[in-house]
Amino acid sequence: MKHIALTIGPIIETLSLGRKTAEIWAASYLFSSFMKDIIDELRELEVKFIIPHIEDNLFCGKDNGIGLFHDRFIFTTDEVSLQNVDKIVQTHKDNLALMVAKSIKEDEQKVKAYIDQYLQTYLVELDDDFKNPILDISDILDSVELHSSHVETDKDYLRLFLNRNTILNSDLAKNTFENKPSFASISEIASCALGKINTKNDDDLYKELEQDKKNFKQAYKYIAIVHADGDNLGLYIKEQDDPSVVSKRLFEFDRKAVEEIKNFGAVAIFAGGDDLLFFAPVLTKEETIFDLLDRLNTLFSDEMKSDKTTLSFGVSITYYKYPLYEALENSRDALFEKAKKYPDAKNPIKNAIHINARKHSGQSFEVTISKAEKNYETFRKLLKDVLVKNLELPHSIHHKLEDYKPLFLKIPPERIKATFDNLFNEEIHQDKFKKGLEEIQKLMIDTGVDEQGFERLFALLSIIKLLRSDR
Amino acid sequence: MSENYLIKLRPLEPFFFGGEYTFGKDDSRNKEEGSRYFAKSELFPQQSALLGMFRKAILNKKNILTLHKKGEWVDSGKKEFESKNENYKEAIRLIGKGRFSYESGFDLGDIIEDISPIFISKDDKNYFVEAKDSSFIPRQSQNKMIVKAKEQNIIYFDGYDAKKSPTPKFRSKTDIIKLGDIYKSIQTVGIKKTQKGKTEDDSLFLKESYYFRNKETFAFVVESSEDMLFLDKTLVALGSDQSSFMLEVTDKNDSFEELTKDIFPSKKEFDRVVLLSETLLTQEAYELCEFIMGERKTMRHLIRNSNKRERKRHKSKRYYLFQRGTVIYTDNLDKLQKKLDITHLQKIGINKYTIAKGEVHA
Repeated sequence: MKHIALTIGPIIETLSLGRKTAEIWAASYLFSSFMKDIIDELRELEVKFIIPHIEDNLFCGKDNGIGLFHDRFIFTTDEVSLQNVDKIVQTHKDNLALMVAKSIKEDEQKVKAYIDQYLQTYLVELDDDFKNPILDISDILDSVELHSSHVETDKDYLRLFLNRNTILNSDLAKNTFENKPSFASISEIASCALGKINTKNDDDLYKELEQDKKNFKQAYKYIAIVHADGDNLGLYIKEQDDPSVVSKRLFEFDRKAVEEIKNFGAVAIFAGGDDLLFFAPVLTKEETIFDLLDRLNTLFSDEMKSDKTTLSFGVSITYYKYPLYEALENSRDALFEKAKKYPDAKNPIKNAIHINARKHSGQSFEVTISKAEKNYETFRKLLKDVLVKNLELPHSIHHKLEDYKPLFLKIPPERIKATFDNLFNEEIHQDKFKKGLEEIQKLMIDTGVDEQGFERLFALLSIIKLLRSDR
Repeated sequence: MSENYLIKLRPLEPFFFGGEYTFGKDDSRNKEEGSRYFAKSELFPQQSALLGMFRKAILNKKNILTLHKKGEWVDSGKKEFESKNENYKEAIRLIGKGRFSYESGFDLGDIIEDISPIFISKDDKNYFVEAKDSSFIPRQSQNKMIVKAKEQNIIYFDGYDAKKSPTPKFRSKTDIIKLGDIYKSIQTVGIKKTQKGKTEDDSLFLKESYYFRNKETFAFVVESSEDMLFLDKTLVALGSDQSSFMLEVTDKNDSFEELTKDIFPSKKEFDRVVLLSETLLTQEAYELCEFIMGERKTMRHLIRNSNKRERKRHKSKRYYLFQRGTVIYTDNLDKLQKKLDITHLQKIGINKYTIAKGEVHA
C-alpha cells in the first residue's frame, strides 16, 4: 500500500490579486473548486482518502460559494499510479484554464500555458510506513510546497479574471451559486444589521442608512476580517487511535461553523480542515464579533471532544474604505504572528485572539488576549453591559486613566480601589458612572497593573468605544 | 586598467523604494477605481533606479547636466547649439545612451563597466540577504514527486515548520543579523492634492518607509577604467520620494565576486545557487532547477514610445523575478549557470548569484 498526496497553490499570492470581496472569494474558491473536481474524479478509483473527509453529498448540488476543500489531499492505494493521478490533475488544470479563458475572452492556448505555469500542483508518492500519516506526510508537503514555480507570460490572465464583474458572470460563479451570482460588498456585510438596500455604491449606501438616525451606528462602517486556525492539532492527532477520525470531526466543525457564520450575517470565504476565513460585521443588532468568535470556539471544542486542541483567531477591524488586501494580510499576521505566539513565541500557549484595529481617523490599536484568562471574561461582560446600557462609562475614561497611569504603576495593589475612588469622586462618578467605574477597575486589575497590562486595557477600552460607536 | 570602487549611499532621511505597485493607478483594475491607499517600501531600490541615479550623479559632477525649472537634460548636439556639442558627446561617452530593458542590453558608456547588486554595509562588513534555506537541512528521498509533468526525487527540509515564519536575516562573512536590527519602518499618512491644491475623494494614503537604525549604508561595487573618486561626497536622490543620500567612494576594493565568495555555507551533497540580486529566470533555466526556495515578485519597466511626440511612457510586460536570498537546487550546475549568465543583466547587477557546492562536490 502506498500514499499519494497533492498540494496546490499559490493561495496567498493569488489572494493578493483581489481588491473586492468577490475577488478575494474567487481567488480562494478557485483552489477549493479545483481540488473538489480532482477528488470527485479520484474517488471513483480504488483509493481511500485520509484527508479530506469525503461524503457523497459534498459533490451533489451547489455549494453556494463555500470553499470546503483544503489545498491538499492524502489517500492510500494499491492500484492507482502517480502518473494516472497526474493526468487527472492536468485535465482539471486545463478545464480551469478554459473557464478563465472563456470568462476573459482570451486565447485558450495562451491561458492554458499560463495556468500550467502559475498553478502549482505538487504530487508525491510515498512507499514508507508512517506512524502517523497525516502528520508525517503533511510535513513533507509543507516542504514540497516551498518550491516556487516559474511564470513567463505576456498577460496576467488570472489578474484579468479576478475582477468582480468577470467573476460574477463566469461559469465558476454560475456553477456554485443556486441563484443569480452575487457577493455582498464590504459595506453591505458591515451594515447587514440594518438590512439590505440596493444602491450604486458604498457612499450612497451609507447616505441612505445614516438617515435612520435612531438605529444607525458608526460601528456599521467597520468590517472584521477573521482568520482562525486550530492549535496543537499535531499533538491531538497523535493521541487519536484512528487519525482519520480527526478529518471527520474537522469536517463537521467546518459544516457547522459555516452555518454559524452565515447566521451572524458574516460571509465565509473558506472553511477547510481547521482553517477558517470570513468577513464579518463588528456589530449586529444584538451581538458583536466576539459573540461569533465565542460560538465558533465552543463549536470547535464540542466537535473535537478535547481541550487539548483550541482555536486561535486573528481579527483585523478596519473602516469599510480601507484596502481589503491589506486588511486580509493584517488578519493573517494577527493570527500567525501574534495569537499563535501568545504569550511567548518560544513557549506559546495560544488559545488566543489578536485584534488589530485601524480607525478611519488613522488611529490604530492592537491587543492579544487569551480566551482562557480572566480578563477576557471581564472584558466580555463589560462590553455587553455597555452595549445593552446596563452601565455607562465616562467618555474620557481612557484619557484619565492614561494621565494617572504613572500613579497606578507605583502604588501597591491594595491601594488601587482607594485611589480609584479618590480620582473619580465627583457626584456623577458616584451616581451615573458608579457601576461602570467598578467594572473598569476590575478590568484594570485583571489585565494587570503594569505597562503591558495598561496597553492591553487601553486597547480593550478602544474596542469598546469603537463598538459603542463613539466618534 | 579597471578597478573596483566601493560606492556607499548614506541615507540622510527615511527612504521609500517602490515596487510595481505604489500609489499610481493600478491598470489591472477597472478605470473608475482610483490609486492604492497603502504602499510599503521595498528593502532595496531597483537596479535600474540605482543605475539611473549613478549616471545622473556622474553627469552632474561633470557639469554636463542642465538644471532648469522645466526639468533636467543634457543639451543635444543641434546645429544652433554647436558650442555645446562636445557637452552631449561627453555625456554619451561617460554614461552611454539608452534605457533599461530586461530584454536587451544598452550602452553603459566608457566609464561604467559593471555595477554590482546593492547590499548593506555596516562597520566595514558587507551584508547580503540570507539564503532562504539557511535554517533547514535539505534531504532527498527515494520517493518520487511530479512537478510540471516531470518526475523527480522529493527534496524536503528537516527543521522546517510551516506555522513558524522565519525571521528575515542578513549575512556577512562573519555574522548574521536580523532585518529588524538594520531597518526600522516609519508609517506616515498623507493627502494627495491636485495641481490646483484641491483634495480629491480617496486622496488619503498611508506609506511605510524605512530608515537605518545605526550607521548602516547601502553599498555597491562599480568596476571602472576611469577614476571615480571625483564622485566622493556627492548628494544624490533615490527612491520615489527622491530621498537624499550622501554618495561616498573608496577605491582599491575587492570585486563583488570576492566580497561574496564562500559567504553561504554548503549543505552536504546539494549544489545550490544562492541569488544575490533580483533574477530573471528563463524557461530553459527553470527546467534545470530541481527545487527553488524563494520569493517571486513582479516588475515592469517603462518603455519609450516609438512616437516621440507621445510624452506618456508605457509599461513593459510583467516580469516575474526571483528575489535576493532565493536558493536554487540543481544537479545541472554548469548548464544552469550558463542560462543564468545573461550578460546585459549581469552588467547592471541583475542575475547575480553565488554557488554553494555540496560537500561531496566541493
